[in-house]
Amino acid sequence: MSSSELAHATLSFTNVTLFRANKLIFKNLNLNFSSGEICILNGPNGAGKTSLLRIIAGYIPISNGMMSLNGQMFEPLKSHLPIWYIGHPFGFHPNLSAAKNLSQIASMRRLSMFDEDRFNVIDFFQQPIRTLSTGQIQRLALSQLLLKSNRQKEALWLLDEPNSTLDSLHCLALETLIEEHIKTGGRVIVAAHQPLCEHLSPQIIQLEAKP
Amino acid sequence: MILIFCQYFLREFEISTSQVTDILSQLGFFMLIMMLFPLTLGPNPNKLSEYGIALVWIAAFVSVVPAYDRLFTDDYLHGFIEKAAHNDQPLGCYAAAKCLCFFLVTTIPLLIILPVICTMIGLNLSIFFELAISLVLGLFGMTLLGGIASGLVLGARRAAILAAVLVLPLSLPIIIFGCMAGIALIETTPIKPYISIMIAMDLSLIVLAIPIMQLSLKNAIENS
Repeated sequence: MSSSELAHATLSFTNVTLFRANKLIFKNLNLNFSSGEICILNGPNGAGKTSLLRIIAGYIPISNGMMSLNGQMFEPLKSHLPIWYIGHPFGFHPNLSAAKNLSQIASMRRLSMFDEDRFNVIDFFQQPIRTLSTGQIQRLALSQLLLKSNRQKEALWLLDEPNSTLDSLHCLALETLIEEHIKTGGRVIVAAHQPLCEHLSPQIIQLEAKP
Repeated sequence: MILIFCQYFLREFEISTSQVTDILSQLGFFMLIMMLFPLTLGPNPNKLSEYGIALVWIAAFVSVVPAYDRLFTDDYLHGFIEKAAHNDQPLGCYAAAKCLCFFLVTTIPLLIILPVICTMIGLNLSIFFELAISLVLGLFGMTLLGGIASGLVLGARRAAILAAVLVLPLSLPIIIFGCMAGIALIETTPIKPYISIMIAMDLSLIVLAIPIMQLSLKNAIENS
């Protein structure tokens, strides 16, 4: 599939079932994620929000069912669709500086540094991660979405509780960033307890906790 | 792939240099084990030099084995392996870079203090070069075995001891041929056959270990 086709493809879940350690997390889930859309996963703790994001990121295999992109089987780790999973743990080494961690991720994925420091990470750029607060680490993690490449526009963002530790100023920056990404045809799937991007009338998926 | 390999390697190197205490404690452990032998076997140089080679090998192995569970555990807990999985390059590339860096930072300090150790237990310094080569080959193979073990025990309870228990039996061929090379050195018989066997073991381990590590890392992500 060429990258222009990928940009408009719909990601679908057909009868997806997931068991983890013999426990049913969700059963026969049918979902569609179109490009240019934001989708918010809601549900109590243990309902499978993170698991669902990790399935789409390609970390967890599904037990049953099919995940497809425009009707073709979708294998996230082999696909050409750029995927960003931002969730705890963030993948930063505590002994290296914020700048080092970010530039390593950028060079690993052949991206260049961002121009616009929307999450104000420059303030603590030279500090090692272990000295940063949870909110600062989260801001740094979200800054990965600002890294530049010509394919970043069509990227699929999987955000797990992105605003849980952000202050109101940076929550606003996140909402603006998501809005811009959607307008350029990107896809965003967020698992969140706090309301996010309500003015964009997101597709809300309610997951139920299993007894 | 080579570029990504170098990037992983540099990252590892920076992390290792930020954790110098890890390297120093391992080195201290090696020195302490070696110091025990003159105290327990008695200071007789003839007796010590007779056992010397075996003692160096045992101390070198015992001092590096506890470090193996660190190999992938940190990156696993910090979520870096997941990040690396989203790269174009296979996880085997990451694992290989990690092992190479680990091998260098554990072996080079050991080689630096090896002459001191040799003098301490009455080994002739003329055999130092050959002994160092056999140790390097042995520790290289050990690192790959350690990488396999470390990958397999990711996420397990008591991972450190489990990794050690996995590595030590598998490393027996390396220890045996390494010691035989050392003994041949002292008896001034040719050591080339033993060295060749060790090189062969190392090469086959490279071929085996990288896919195994790749699979075990993938498996660890799925279960995290």
